Amino acid sequence: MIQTIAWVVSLFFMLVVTAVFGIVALKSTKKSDYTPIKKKWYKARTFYGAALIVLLLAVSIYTLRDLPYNQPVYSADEEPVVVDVEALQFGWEISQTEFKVGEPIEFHVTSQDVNHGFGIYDEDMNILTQTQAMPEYTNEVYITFDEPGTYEILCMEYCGLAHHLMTAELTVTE
Amino acid sequence: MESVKSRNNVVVSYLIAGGLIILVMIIFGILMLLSQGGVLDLQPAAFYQILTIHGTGMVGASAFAAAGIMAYFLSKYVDLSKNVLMTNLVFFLIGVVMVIIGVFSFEYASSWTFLYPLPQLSANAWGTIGALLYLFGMLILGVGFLLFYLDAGRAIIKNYGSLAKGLGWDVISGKKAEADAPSSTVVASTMVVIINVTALTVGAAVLIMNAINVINPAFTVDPLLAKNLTYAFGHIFANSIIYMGVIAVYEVLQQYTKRTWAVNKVFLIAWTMSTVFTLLIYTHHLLMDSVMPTWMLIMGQALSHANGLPVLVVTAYGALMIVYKSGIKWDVGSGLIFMSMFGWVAGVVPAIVDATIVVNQVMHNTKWVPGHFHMYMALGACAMIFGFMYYLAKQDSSIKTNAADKFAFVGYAVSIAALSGSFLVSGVLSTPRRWATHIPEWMGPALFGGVIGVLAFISVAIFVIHFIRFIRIRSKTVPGTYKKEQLA
Amino acid sequence: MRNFLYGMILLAFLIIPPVRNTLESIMITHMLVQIPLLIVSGWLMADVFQERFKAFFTKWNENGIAGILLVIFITAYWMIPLNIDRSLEMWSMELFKFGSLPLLAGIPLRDSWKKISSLVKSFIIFNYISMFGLLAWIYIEAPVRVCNSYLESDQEILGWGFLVITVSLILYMLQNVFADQSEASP
Repeated sequence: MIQTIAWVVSLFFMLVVTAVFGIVALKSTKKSDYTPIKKKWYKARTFYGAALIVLLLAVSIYTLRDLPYNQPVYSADEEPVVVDVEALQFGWEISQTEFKVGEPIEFHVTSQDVNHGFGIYDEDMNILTQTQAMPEYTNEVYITFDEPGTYEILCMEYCGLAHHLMTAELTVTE
Repeated sequence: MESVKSRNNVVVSYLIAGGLIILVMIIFGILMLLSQGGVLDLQPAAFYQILTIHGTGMVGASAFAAAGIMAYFLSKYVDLSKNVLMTNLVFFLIGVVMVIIGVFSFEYASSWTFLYPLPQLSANAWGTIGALLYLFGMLILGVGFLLFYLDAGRAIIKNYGSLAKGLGWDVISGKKAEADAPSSTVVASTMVVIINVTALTVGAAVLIMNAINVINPAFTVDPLLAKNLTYAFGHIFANSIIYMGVIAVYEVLQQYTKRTWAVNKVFLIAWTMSTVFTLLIYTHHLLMDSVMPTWMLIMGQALSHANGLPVLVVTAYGALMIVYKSGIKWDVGSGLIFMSMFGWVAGVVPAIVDATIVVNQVMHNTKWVPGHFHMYMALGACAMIFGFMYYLAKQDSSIKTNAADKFAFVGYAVSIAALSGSFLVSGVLSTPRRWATHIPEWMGPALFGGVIGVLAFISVAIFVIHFIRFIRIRSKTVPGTYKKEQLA
Repeated sequence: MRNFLYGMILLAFLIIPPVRNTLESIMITHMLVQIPLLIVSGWLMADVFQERFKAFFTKWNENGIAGILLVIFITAYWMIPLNIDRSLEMWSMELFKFGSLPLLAGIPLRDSWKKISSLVKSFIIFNYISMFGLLAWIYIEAPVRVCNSYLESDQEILGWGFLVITVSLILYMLQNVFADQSEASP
């Protein structure tokens, strides 16, 4: 979902950029005095710059409202399942791999040796969320599975020659 | 008569070394993509060695060639030491040889990010010698670059009084008129001196820390500190390439359009912003480390977004303005230079998207990231380098471009845009980056990228051949007057 | 001549056993007070030597590089924990310390600093920035006692001392490159 939004937004703006550069390139070989061009387009820049600042600020503030670092607020009768994850060259030690749909889960992720990445993939191999697994530190990642099925853990940080073999499975049932 | 051989070729050597290494690195890139695409069977060890060399080589070679651009134009305003430039060249070559031996003879494969403690803890894939060759090779490379930037800083301070004045702060504060502001070349060079002296000092420290840990594993580093230092070094140094390359954009477009690129307050403020942001935004590489102080990560996102402003509002906009209805006569060099600004701006878009924390959560360390930087570095920074190579050839000799060069221009633009697009699509498909093998769903874009990469290789080969032709013509005839201080 | 006298007095003062013992009893004063002061004493005495052995200095240290390399080697030597340990255990090493730092670091430092170019100067300073930063890390993070003669807690204090020096050097360089130098020396 987020991937699609990111892709559409990027594509849109990249196409706008292409169009602008294309138009300027097409009009570049005609010759005209620079002073009026400067005057006109410096003025336009003031608006363009202001609009861009407003846009970026709005996007920043909007996207910073809800960060993945914040522990979700649990209701009174709800207890999150805390799962300890330890990464090592080249595998995962996960304290619990079977979950129920709808139960909030906290993965506490660390590493025995080098830096690894803990990426959770759904059955269609779309990444849902991730965090870094690093020695001496414990990163937390929060997730609630909505669908039953088999989820995969993939290593997301290069950790050595068997990096691409470092996978594990989680099972989610109704 | 001045003998031909004594003509100073130092900038030309920077560019030919950079160009040739980039060309070879493209081959490695193609091999990796073909292997991920399932048509080539690379052993994981070979794949990750190639990955390490590809990253190190591309960043090192383009930084080196871009330093050549900076030296060439900056020496028109200040006196750079030729000895330092030669020292940097020698150190660069020694460093490259050590890195190559470390990687291919001693199977070192930590990727170019050498994230602590991977150099030491390789699960027995490589040994102490390989790691030390790589780390000290990088250190020697870094020392050469450091000398170059220190000398540039010294020269700027000598001419302009201080680095603050090199950035035009006295103009911003109103003490000096805009008309007396330092040229765009000096401003950009000052910025690069500041950020890269910082990056290289940090880099030297973290390289030695890793080396000590490799020699005696009892000495450990806080992994989070090491990660911060490593990304601060890597991010700033890789970023600096485009800020050196853009000097060619300023100078070449001004000449070709016969218009002046005004250095005004807005321009200077933009460069000061770039200086500060570039030093601070490396934390966007740590957005998936929730143990980091949250304010640093929020700052990472906010400043990364803000870092788009100087280029979007000032540099790229200025390039568009200076070209618009200028009656410019395009050639391959100026075409590449103009295209480089497009590559930069287009490459900034996926970067801003990815620096957003909620997006980073699903894009971090996927192939979206190489998608961004292949556009930004190859279509942006490297196009500046190749464009400058054509510019220099035209300035210094009677060489003519032919149909092959024009084909290469189009081929390069198309292939890099397609390659970057294929990486971005892989990112949307959640393909993790730096994986030796792909599941079938991920293979398509990788294979496509590998095939289109061949076109990129052919195009860059033509660029490099043209430059070699230029060197040969030049060594026979020396146009223009010869000065001892002349760098090219 | 007056400087020479001050240098001699400083050196003599540092040699007095109670002073020496006090300074050497704590790791941080040993490394960040005694050793720098020994270099300073040599630096103060330098002009007499420069006068006396003019020919020697011009011949062997013409561009200052030889001297500054010597300074780097000697100072690096006395940053190694093992050598600090030995100076406490062996009288010959202690003698070498009191000789080498003034004579082989202090004097060449003064002779070279004026001769080397500003590029070499800044390179040396950045070199010391990374070196001191690394020492800070080594002494703070060292898993074991690196010196037999001192406690681990002493070691850590020394590490923070090095960090302070590193930060000060960085601040010095910052003000140096950002403060205007054209008006000061027109």
